[in-house]
Amino acid sequence: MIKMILKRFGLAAATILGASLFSFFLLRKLPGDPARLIGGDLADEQTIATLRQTMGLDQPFPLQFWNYLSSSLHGDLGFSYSTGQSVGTLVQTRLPATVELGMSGVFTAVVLATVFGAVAVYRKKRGADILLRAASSLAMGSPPFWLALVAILLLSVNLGIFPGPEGRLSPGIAPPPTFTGFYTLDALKSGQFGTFFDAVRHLILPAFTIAVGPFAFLSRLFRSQLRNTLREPFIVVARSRGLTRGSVFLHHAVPNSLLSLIAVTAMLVAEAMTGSVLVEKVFGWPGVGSLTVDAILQKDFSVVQGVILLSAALYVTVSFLADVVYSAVDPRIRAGVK
Amino acid sequence: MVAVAAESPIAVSRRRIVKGDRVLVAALSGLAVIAVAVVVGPWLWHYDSNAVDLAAQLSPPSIDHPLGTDNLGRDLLARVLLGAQTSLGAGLVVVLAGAVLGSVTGLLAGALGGVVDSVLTWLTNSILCFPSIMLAMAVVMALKPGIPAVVIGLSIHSFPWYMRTIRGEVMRIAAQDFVKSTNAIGATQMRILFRHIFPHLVSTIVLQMAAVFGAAVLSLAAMGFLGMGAQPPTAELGAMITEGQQFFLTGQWWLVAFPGLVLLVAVTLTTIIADRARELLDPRGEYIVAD
Amino acid sequence: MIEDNVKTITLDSPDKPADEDTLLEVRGLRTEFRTTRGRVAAVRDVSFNIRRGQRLAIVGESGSGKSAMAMSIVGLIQPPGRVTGGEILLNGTDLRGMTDRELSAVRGSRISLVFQDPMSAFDPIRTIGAQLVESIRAHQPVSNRVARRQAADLLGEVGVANAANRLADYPHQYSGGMRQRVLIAMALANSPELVIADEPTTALDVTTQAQVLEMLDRLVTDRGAALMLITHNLGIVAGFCDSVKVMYAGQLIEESDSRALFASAAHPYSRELLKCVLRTDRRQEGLLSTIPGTLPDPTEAFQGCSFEPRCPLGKGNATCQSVEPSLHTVQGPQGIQLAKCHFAGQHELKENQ
Repeated sequence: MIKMILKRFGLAAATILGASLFSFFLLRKLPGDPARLIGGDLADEQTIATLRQTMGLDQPFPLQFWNYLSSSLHGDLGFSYSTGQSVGTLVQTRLPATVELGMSGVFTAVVLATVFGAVAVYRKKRGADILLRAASSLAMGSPPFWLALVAILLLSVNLGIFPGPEGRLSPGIAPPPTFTGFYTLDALKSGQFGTFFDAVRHLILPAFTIAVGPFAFLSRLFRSQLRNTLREPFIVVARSRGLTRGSVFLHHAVPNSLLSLIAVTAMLVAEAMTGSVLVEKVFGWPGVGSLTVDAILQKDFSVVQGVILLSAALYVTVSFLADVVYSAVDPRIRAGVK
Repeated sequence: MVAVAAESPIAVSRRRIVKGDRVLVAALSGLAVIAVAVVVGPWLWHYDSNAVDLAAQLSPPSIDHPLGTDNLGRDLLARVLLGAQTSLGAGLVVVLAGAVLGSVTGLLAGALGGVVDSVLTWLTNSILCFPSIMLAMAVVMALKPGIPAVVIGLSIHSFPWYMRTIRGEVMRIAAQDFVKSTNAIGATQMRILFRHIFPHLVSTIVLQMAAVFGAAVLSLAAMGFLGMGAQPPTAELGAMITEGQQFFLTGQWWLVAFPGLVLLVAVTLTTIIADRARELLDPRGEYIVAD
Repeated sequence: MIEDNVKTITLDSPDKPADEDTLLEVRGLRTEFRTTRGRVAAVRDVSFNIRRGQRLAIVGESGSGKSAMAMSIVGLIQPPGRVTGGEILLNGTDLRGMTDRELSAVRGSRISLVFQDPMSAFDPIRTIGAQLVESIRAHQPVSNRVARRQAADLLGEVGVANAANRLADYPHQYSGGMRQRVLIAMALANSPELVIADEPTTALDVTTQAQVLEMLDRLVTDRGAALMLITHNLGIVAGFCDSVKVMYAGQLIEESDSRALFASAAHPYSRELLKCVLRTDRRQEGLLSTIPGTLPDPTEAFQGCSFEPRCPLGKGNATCQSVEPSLHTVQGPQGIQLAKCHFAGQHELKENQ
């Protein structure tokens, strides 16, 4: 198993290298002259030349890439040209908001998809199954940004159940002292229950809209996994040993199907990242997603490159970890059989 | 034992398609209606999508303007029809480009193997670790905001799947006897690839195209929504939602509702069609075991 | 010995009413599968009895409906299959009328099954011990500790060395033969009255086959359980079962005492099956034969005898093509036999037939 993990790690490293090369090529080499883009049309030749030198654009491509890679590995992702802050710091301040939102969204999606998926497959009457399939097809088809707008209009503007697109807290409520950066947890830890409820109220709508994509993806996958597992011979054998339908379902079909879902954790993360880019903009959520959108519109190269590289690194890391967890949980792989 | 009259297989399969998959038939009809409306609608409808009528700004749905008008008094139905044309058309381009690019690289990787295969596999692995929207954003950054950049970005993100599938199939089929024997009688490699291997894969490719079409349309709309896709005055559903956003919360709901609904319906229908078609080809999904 | 024979036959006769010695009584069992080409009957009006302690073999080609019949008896026929008619009486109680919960109490306890494919019969992510304990505790109100001890004893009984330690192993850590033994242990865990073994040795090599059969035989005898052995191989039936039923196209076409069948089969199909078996007790003439042709397409409606197209006796015969044969009683050299054949017991046709 150690050998397998090492091999998998090598593959992950190669993929990250490829991803950074790809994004470097796309963002540094394609746009003609980044120095001109950053300096603006009005800058004189002298300024542009200096800019090219500081950006290292006068060096040969492999060297440029090497410099970029080594500084990235040291955590130096460059500076934002619009704010002057280091990209690392920018991302760091924005990250907790996105992670709090993304994790709430994915958690919601996982719970809804597995519970409804299990109920839909288990029930003999087809109604629940038809309902689930309709719901997941609709979830698959709904544009998350549009759904967010509709949710705000109906539930916040018209009914007033949830706050409007005003970010993570109501105006006038101070953020809790930082421990994790998650307002909900931090507020609980410091005993500010009012802040906690406000943070939760602000979290619910964006989290649900983020959950829509992963829910569509997961519920379909879990449903078909369950149905495949139920076709396995060991299910009938378990029934023949005298276990009831419910017991076989709960103790054999569900665990086996859940196990195979571990493999798609990285896809979920990617879905949540996509969702956060769109949903954060609508809800005024001060996270990495809205940072990225603003940076692109302002042509802030280093920020875009940093975020894109981080998203790829996150994806690769999560899929590597998922593989490791999977092989630790599945006894067949643990023993090196499969 | 003597066989007695039985139902003809043709009658049975006809009954099965009509009876067994009313959902598929309904979804196909729905999508056909949308396709026809989107292709010929803009010509038939008497309002021009860019005709500004300042006297009729932000009027709600009425008989004259069935979907209302926007802040410049442009007819929303005309704009939605044209916007859907843009969105669905661009989605189609993404899907086709991805399939072509993936097929070519897949055939190359599978047939040539060696270094070509390794490099292409490494490249696609690297591409797949970007979320599709992130990749599209990077291309927008490198080129300039607009539909072409987004289409390029999304196509790049969508081709690895085809490449992997076709690469695997080529390797599998190339090992089979009938290919070896055609090889022995002197057919060239490319001829084998296109005459014998590729036709095996068409249904797989078409199914995948149907399955990812909806996602491509949604991503295009998302980029439009973020201001990185279609640029004004091009009508595109995602960009229209952004334009309507400022009026949406103050009562002019139709500006956001209708473009979104069209997206929702079109994408949901293609998802259903792709699902059903897959199930028809793989009937294993029909029954559920362990009662 | 002769008396014993007569007793077997009379009790086996489907017309004979059940008495206190009858364990399982199947009456007019019919199982159908819904397919895209309409309903297909996999089991067609099958009736038979099993006595306590009896060993019964059900023999037939694959696709003849043997497994569908076994699964129908325990109510585990899978959709699109469904039992559409008949009664399944266990000690006089109809299993078909039971709820799933009641039936679950019967399965694995009073009737248990041994399956043919030991590779896929276990949940791959639970230990063998956990699955054994689960089986035991589904039927006995014992603690986890007690069940574990029972499980270890059972494993020891079926010849798994170091049984107590191997409870913690996962299915993939067992060899094929060992897994088959564990399956048998599982089937016997709650002292069943009837064990239905569906091709229990097909997936195993010949040496292991013999060991597993011998063990199954011993354990069933020790517990006084009845055994229903489903197989396509007449060779393993001889000397193992008291009575044989031959299944063809969903029907029982011959019901005989085991010795009677091997001495002289009454149905032409049974005779063809016997020709496929390597006999050690007599000289083999030529090659082992195979039966030409295949089972009838079950989706096709037909009239007459289902074996007619392949029958060396009745092929092309007008009666065989038009009239479905009923069960005929034949006085064979070793006793009474029943066969669904217009020419039951005859080895060649007389001129005018």
